[in-house]
Amino acid sequence: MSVSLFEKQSVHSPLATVLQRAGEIILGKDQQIKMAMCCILARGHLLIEDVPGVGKTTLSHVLASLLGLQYQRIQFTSDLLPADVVGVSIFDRETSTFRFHPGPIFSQVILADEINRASPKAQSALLEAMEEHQVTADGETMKLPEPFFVIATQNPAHHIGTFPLPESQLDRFLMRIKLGYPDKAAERALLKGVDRRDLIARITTAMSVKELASLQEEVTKVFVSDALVDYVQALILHTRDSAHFEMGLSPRAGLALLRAAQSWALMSGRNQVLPEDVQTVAPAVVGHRLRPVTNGDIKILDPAQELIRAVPIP
Amino acid sequence: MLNQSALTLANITWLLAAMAFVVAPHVARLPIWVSLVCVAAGAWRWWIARHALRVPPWWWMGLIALAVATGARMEYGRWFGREVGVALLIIMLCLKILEMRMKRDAMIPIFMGFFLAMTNFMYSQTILMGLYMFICVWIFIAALIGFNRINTEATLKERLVPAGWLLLQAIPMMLVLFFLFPRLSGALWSMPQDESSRTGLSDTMSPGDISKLSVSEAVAFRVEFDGAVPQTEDLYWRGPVLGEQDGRAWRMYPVATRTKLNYVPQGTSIHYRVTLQPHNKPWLFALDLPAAAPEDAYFLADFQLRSRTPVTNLKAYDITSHLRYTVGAELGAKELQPYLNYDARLNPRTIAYGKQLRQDIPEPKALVEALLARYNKEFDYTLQPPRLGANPVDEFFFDTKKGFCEHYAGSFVLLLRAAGIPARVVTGYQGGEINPITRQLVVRQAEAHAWSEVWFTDLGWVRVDPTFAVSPLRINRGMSEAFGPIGVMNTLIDADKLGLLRQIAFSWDAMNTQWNRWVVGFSQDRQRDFLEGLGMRDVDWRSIAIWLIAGVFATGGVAGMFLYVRALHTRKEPIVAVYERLCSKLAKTGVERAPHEGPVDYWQRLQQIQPKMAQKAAPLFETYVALRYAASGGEPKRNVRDFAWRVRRFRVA
Repeated sequence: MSVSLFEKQSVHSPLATVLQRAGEIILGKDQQIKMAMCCILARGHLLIEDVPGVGKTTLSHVLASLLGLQYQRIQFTSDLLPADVVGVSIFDRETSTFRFHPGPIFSQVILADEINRASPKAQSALLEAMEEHQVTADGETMKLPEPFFVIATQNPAHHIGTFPLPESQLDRFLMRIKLGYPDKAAERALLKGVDRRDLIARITTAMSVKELASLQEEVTKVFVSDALVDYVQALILHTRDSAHFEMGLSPRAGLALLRAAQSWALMSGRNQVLPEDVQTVAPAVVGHRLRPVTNGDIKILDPAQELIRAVPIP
Repeated sequence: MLNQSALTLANITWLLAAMAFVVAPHVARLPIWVSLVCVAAGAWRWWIARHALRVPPWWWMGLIALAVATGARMEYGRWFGREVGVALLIIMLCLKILEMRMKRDAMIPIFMGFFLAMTNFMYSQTILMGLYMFICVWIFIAALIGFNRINTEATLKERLVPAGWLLLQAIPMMLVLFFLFPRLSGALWSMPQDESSRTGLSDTMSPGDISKLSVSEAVAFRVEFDGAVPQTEDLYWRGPVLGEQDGRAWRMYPVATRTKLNYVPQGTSIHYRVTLQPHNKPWLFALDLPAAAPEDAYFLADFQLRSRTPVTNLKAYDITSHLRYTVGAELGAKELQPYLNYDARLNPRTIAYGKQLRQDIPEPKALVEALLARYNKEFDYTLQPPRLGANPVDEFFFDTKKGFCEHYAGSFVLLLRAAGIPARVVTGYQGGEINPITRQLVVRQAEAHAWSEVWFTDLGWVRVDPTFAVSPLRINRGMSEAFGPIGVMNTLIDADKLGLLRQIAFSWDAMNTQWNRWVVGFSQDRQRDFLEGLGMRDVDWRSIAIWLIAGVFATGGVAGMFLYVRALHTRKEPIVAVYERLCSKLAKTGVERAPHEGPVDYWQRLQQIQPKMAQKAAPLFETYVALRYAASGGEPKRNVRDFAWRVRRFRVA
């Protein structure tokens, strides 16, 4: 049996629609949109990092709307309290009991804007929910709705008034992507075109929750061969042995890499993962988990590319 | 410029360091300007590498080479010979590095460096030199490894560790070649000597010659006795016999040669084996008096033992001597006449005293005894004798009365001749030190000595040592005990109460002995003995050659087996091997797969550059991806074999 790899595959049509419509609003960023979608299909949380004004928030709005998910936006500020995220218990006079008023976190998609502007306390309220898919308030544990994922945006760490997320919390985001400035043609179209906010308001759902859930299920079934596991292991091992990185990748990072690669393979219309899939998602998956050694002469600008180039495919 | 990538600063620095190491032992022998040219060339090359400059143009190099070669010709006066050859080789090596433009050019200095390492053995064949050259070769291999790295710079560890392994792996083959390579009758590094500048006795003796030697700790020869070692006072190692007195100096008479000495032995004979350090002179040393000359040697009429060729390499010979003997009693006046001659223009007081003595004491034996008594009473033995003027014997005998063996032997013989008694000076070595580990007697230059032989009617030639009369300790106990510390080694040995340093010194000497026997002196004969000891019969060069070839194949085979077994352990999956074959075939189109490039990426790149080839290879890539990454059912083994067959049939052309 052979697989035809070299002709354009017919991608699942609702997925194609999502990607196409998102591309109509966020111009010239097809690859980033695809990567964000890949992250969602892999059931991962997404972190979008870039300077203000390149469309981070727009992208998260567009994706949530297109997927027809119930979403809440939390604008993180330095005085945000955990209760503002999770919710508060208020005394009900009629029943003489405390009643829990759920916070914005109880929705399918959370748009956590400028997450690194909040204090670590508020950040951790969100991040705990991300990992456990549940929140605890007043000693009571409450399940969060399904699907549940967070699209967080943040400004680059060196900007004024930011609390950089520690490694342990960065690790909870499956991917971190950067948008970057649009190219010349896209920017021109943007400047001449309609207001993006109007476009978002007009978005109609392109994929049902059921379709999304089944795609997420399919991702886990994309075949991973022993040879590919060897490759992922070689990559992880290299980060642990190499003198170029301060810390190696965790097992969780390895799982994330594999799952993201599965998701990418599915979006490329394949039911087996290739080393190329791993290489494509690697910058987004490991970029925020690897800290290159900065002292000395060696200065790695792109740790993920460095990693890929250094490890031969077994 | 073509590919300059290999000529990085680090690689150049390594090459220069390796060259400095290998040239360093030569520096003391080179003219100073040659060393300066080398340093200048090295510094220049380093500067070029440091600042990525261009190398000097060819005609410039040509002019420099011409100038330096002319300089060498003027310095040495010839083109051929060891000294000038080594000097030219070093100069050419240093100029060659200025011509390096690409990786290939760096190979020439490195291989010249290996050759230059060998030239050091023309001057010194000690253990230390062997170790030093081992290190030199190690550094050169480390430099070679650096030049062969692609893209990345080799670290210190990445150079030295594999280089060391390569050297260690070469040892079995080295041993096979060393023991089995057919030997010539001389050592490999015996080259025509330019100058004789080694320490040792010479064929003339003037005051101060032997006392100069007496501070040298260098080994003159080593002796293994078959039986017990004789008493120290019997250990007179006979060297040049000096019969002619010529002003201040004593010289050798041109005397007839003999194949056998006629003497009447008394007492038992002793057998021993002498291993003589090269001293560039033809004489050999034996205990008074040797019975028969070894092969390649003969006697002179004055009982000197001589080799037919100068001893330029370590020489070993077996010999038998009798310590008690009667010799020359039959000689007549004609044969003895040369031993009565003296230079009458010098030393008038001594000559007059000798003549007077004969008138006072006509009996020769009584005269000799009276003279020895006078030496004993009035003279002092010293290693720092006062300087002597125009009539040295007069001044020594009547004024200073302080001297070394050559003063005693010289004045004694002159006095006897003036008195009309035949006498002559004999030089050689006296005594020796027993190494308790090897049971060998080690005779050093410090043991150089001069004594006299006097002819009496009926008795013939009798050894008389006037130094013994002055300082019996010198003869009885040996040099170092009579005179305390001589040289650094002895100072240490004497300071050491526990004897540990002495033990080390003797162990070191024992090691040197083994080295001399098994490495430097591994001659044709030694090789034959060794191989016969291993059970080989009828050893000739043909059988050695056959064993050599067999040995080379055997060591090569063992190494090959080792590599094969290791390859089995780390063998790749068959599918990967087949895929790599496909990639290497496609690499001929100029599109080579990078190690980190996946199959689809590689195929897409191929399609952009070689679309036709990509179309042709597409099914193979699809099969590979399916076999390696897809959840393929069926019989994968058969599929892999089928894939391998298709790849084998795939043609790039």
